[in-house]
Amino acid sequence: MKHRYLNCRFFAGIFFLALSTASAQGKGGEIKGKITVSRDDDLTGSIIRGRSLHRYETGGAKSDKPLDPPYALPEKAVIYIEAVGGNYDPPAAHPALDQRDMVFRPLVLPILVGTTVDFPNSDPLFHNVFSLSQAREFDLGRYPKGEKKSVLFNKPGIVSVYCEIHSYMFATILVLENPFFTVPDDDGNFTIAGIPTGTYQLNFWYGRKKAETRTVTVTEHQTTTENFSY
Amino acid sequence: MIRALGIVLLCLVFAWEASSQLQVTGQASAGFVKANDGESQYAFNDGNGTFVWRLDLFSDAVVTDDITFLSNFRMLQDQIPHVDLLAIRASDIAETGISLQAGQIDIPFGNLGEGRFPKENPFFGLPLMNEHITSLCESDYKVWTLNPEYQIAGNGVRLLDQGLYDLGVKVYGSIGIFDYSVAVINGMISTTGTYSPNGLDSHNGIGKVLRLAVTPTTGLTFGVSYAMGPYMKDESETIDLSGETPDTSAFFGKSPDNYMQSIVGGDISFSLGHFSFDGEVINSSWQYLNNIDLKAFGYSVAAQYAFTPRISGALRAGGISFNSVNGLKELNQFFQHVIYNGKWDHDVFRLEGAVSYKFNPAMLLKIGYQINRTYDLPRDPVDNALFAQTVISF
Repeated sequence: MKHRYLNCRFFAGIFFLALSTASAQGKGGEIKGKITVSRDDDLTGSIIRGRSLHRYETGGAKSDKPLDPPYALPEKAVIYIEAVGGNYDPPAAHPALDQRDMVFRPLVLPILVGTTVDFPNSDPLFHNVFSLSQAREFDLGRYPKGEKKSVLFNKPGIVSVYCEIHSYMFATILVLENPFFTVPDDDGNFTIAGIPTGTYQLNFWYGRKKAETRTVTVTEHQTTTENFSY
Repeated sequence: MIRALGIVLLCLVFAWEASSQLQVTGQASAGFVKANDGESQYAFNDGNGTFVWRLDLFSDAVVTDDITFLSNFRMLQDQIPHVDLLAIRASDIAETGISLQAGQIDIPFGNLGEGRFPKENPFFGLPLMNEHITSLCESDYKVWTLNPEYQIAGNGVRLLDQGLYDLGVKVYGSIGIFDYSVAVINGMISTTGTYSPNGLDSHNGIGKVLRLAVTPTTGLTFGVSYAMGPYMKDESETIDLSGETPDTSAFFGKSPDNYMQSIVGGDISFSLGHFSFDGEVINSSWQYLNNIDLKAFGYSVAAQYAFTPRISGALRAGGISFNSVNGLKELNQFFQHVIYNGKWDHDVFRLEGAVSYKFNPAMLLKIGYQINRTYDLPRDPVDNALFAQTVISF
């Protein structure tokens, strides 16, 4: 129940892990670690407060209810590596950025460049998803509950997603150049496997921003451990 | 003094925000308005092109999951602070689905919604029926139809008093596809709390407001609103204007509490894809002396379309027509008693068009033009207006 919003995301994650594992069978290394969060990010608090304080709503809006379940760690955190060479086919499956209970879920969605993302509306009222980011500019207009629209992201970068109607709604799509990224589990544990040998920038994204970047060296058949705290 | 109080209030708000659960968000806008300089209440700043600004601060607190505090603070270039909304909200009381707001509330009448604010309003001002100042003068409740000074410049009450905020209590909720709101307020739709200098109820009796809305499908909402209550101040019973004019208040010696405003409205909101439409009609009646009812019918329709993620266009049309009255005892501009037969104010019409451009999600630029028409005058005043306004939200 707790993970009902994350299914598509996990499928995508599993796909990429399988892909990376398959592409580096018997070679490459992996990075493992744990994310420890001792405080909430400002963005999450701001979204939740903004949602509670929205005015002048009718039509069955439930924005003054507590967010249930609250954002889980896999919806807020991403670990990814930059500047890994190679070409990677995007997945056929479409990860989803849901509009549910007057917020976007997840808060941050990592995808491989070339991926198509679905934007289902699960609320009994209109949202109007849009982005003015350089990596992808779009405006999906208004559509009712049960319908979804899709957007192809074919340029790497950070895409900030908003709702035209509910200004507090916000999410980030990280359009990444390689499949070596993952989201942690509920306890903060993560693994990225099958990484080609080399030295890379390992990034920890939390909430709205990149919280930390480290230089890591991946060695053949070795596990590198990197723990993050926020 | 008022300005100083406003600044102190602002400082307190930010100090509080820094040390508590209060959250401050807002909108700030700066613009330029150039109207034609005709003899009209719509000739903004007498036709002198002028820069303007506006600040809206929303200072809110989530006290518990069910209890919140909401406030809207507004200041324009005149630097007079306006506290529009200052309400305690209890949501879903005892899990009944019923919510309550108490304090200075937004009156549940019509579908103005967030169109009160510059970022959500594609135009410079509110709909015509929220802005037009009638000839029913609230200072003495005379109808100044014959006096050109008031007739043209406007010195009376509005049909809908701008943003529609007043002191009171509102109970509201949803049952399936239906939304309901019931409110009692100090003032009335045309004469809200802003007409009371000390903030207290200015007469015996309360305004009663009811709104029902149905949303048969997402994006389509029909609403009906009704309000009734005394619209005058008690002082109109005793005020003596003999020092200024040869007459007293029109209601001198009478009880203004017996004279009611009743107003009924219907509205529709529709949106789909990149298109949205809002329409509202109202019919207002003010009971007046000698069994005369002053009536007005107003309407507003607005459509907006997003051509691209950054560029939107909008059109709005609105009008007001007034009824004819017979045997209205009135003063002309020479303060002579005459009997007036005819419309108690001039019918008006406004057409507006605007284009907006989003620089980023928090900043947009609006440019628009407004055409105003006033009927039944020897010459329609030249009072069209051009505006440009940039808005940021934070």
